Amino acid sequence: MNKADLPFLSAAALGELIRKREVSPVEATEAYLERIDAVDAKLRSYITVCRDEAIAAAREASQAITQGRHLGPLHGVPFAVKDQFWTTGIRTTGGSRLLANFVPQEDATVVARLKAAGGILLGKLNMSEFATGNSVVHPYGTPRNPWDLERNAGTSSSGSGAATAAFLCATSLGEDTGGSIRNPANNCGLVGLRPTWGLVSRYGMLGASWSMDIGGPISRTVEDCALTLQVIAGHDPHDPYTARVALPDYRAGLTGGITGMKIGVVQEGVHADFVYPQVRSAVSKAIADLKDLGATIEEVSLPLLPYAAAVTRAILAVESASLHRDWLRTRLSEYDHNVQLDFLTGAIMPAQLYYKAQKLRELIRRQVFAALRKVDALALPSSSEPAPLLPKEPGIKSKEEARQRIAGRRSLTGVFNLANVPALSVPCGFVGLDGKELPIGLQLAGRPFEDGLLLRVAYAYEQSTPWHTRRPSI
Amino acid sequence: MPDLSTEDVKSLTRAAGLDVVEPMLSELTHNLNALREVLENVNPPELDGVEPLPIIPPHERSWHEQG
Repeated sequence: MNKADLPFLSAAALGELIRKREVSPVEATEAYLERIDAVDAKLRSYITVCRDEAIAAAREASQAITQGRHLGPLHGVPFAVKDQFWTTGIRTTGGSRLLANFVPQEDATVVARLKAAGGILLGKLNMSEFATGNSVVHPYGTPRNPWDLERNAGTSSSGSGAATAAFLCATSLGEDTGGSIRNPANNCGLVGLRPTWGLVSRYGMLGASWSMDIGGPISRTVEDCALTLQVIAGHDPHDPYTARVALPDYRAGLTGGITGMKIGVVQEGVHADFVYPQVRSAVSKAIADLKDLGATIEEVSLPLLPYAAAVTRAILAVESASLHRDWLRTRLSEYDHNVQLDFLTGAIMPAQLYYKAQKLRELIRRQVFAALRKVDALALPSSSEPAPLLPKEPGIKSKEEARQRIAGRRSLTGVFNLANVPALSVPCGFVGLDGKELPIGLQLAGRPFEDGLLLRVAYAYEQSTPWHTRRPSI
Repeated sequence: MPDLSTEDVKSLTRAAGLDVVEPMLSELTHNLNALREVLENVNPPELDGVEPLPIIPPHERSWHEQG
C-alpha cells in the first residue's frame, strides 16, 4: 500500500496491517505526520504536534513487534488527544493562554493506557478554552471544519473532530461536559461516544464541571470507537469515582444485530421546533432504518428536555467558576471574552438558583431512567443543525440573546450529561448548505454501563448505511 | 421576579471579590437575568419532592433503583 494512503484506513484496519507486519508503526506515523504538515495549516486542529516523540514511540512499537510482543489492536496506531489531557513533558494548554507554559510531569490515565496499548501519540488537539464551548477566540488558531472551512468543527472538542475527520489521526479523545464529544462528531461526520460517568478515569484531565465531565473516543467508525473505549475504560485508583465493573469486549459485542431491541424515540428531541427540518427528516429515516434492522420502535417522552441546556449551563457555570476562583480575581482579562462571561455568571449565581438547577437535574435524571426502563436505548438528533458558521463576534447584546444561548441544541445533548448515562453520535446523513455537503448525526443514549449496547446499535446502523464512507475534500 | 440591574450585579461581583466593569457588566447582567428567568419559570409539580443531588455515582446503585 502507498504510504500516503495509510491515514485513510480505519484504526482497526491499520492495526491489523501492523499486526501482520505489512506496515510498520514508523511508516504509519510518518504518513500521518506528513499529512498533518500538508493539511493542518488550513484546519488548525493541532495545538502541538509531538513529532520527535511520535517517531521515537513508533520505533519502539516496531521493535516490540519484531521481538514478538504485540500489544493489541491499537499497537502502532497513531492517535491524538484533546489538549485537556496531561501529557508527560508535553505542554497541556486547555486551549487557554493561561496554561501556555504548563508542562505536566505525568500522563493522564487515559493517555497512559493508550500508550501502554502500543498507541502512538501524535499530538495535542485544539479546543474551546477550558472546554466551556462558548469561546470565540482560540489563542492557538481557530479550528475549522474539514467539510467547510467557514464552519464550526463542533465544541468543545473541536480539534478532535477536525483532525479525525481530516484523517490527521487514526482515532482521538475528546471530553464531554454538555455535548463536547457528540457535537464535533455531529459536525464532522464521526462517531463520538460520551461514556457512562464513572467508566473512564478523569485523572490528569483538566476539569470543567466535576459532576458532568468525562473523556471518550471520537473516531471515524464505530469499530474504532469500540477499540479506543476498550483501552481507556475501567477502574483507576487515581480516580475514586471510576467504577469497579467488569468490562465487556466492546468490539466482539458489535456484531449480532439488533433484532428485538426496543428503541425509544424521544418526542421532545425529534419534534422540537428548533430542530432543522432536514435534520428531523434524516433522523426519522435513520429510526425507520433501525426498525428495518429488527428493532422495535416506541415513542417516549422526556418532558423536561427543553430545559436541559439551562440546567446544564447553571451547573457548569458554578462548577467552572469554582475551579477558576483565584484566576478570575487576578487574571480575568486573559480569558476569552465569552469564557469570562460564563465564569463570572457562575461566580455570582444566587445559591437558590443553583439549588433549583440541581433539583431539576434530579427530575431530569428520573425522566431519563424512567424512559430507559421501557426501552433499551433512546434515539434523537445529536444536534438541531449541521455545523454552523464560525462565530465572529464575542459577547451578548441583550437578555434575549443570552436566552438563545441556553436553549436549543444544547438541550439535546445536555440532558444525558445531567443523567450521567452514555450517549453517542453516529452519522445519519448529509445536508446541502451553501454548496457544501454537511454531515448530521443520530444520537443514541442508554443505561449506565451499557455503552456496549449503544455501540452495537450504532454498528448495525453504520454497516447498513453509506455515511461513514464519505470523505471531506480537504 | 424583576430583573437585576447592573448596579445589583455590580454588588454581587464585589461580594465575590471580582472587579467587573462595562461593557462586561451589562453582558453579565443580561446573562444572569436570562438564566434566572428560564429557571424560575420551570416549576414541575414533582419539584418539591426531590432532593438536589448533584450526582449519584452510577455504580453506587443499579440504574433501575434510581428514580
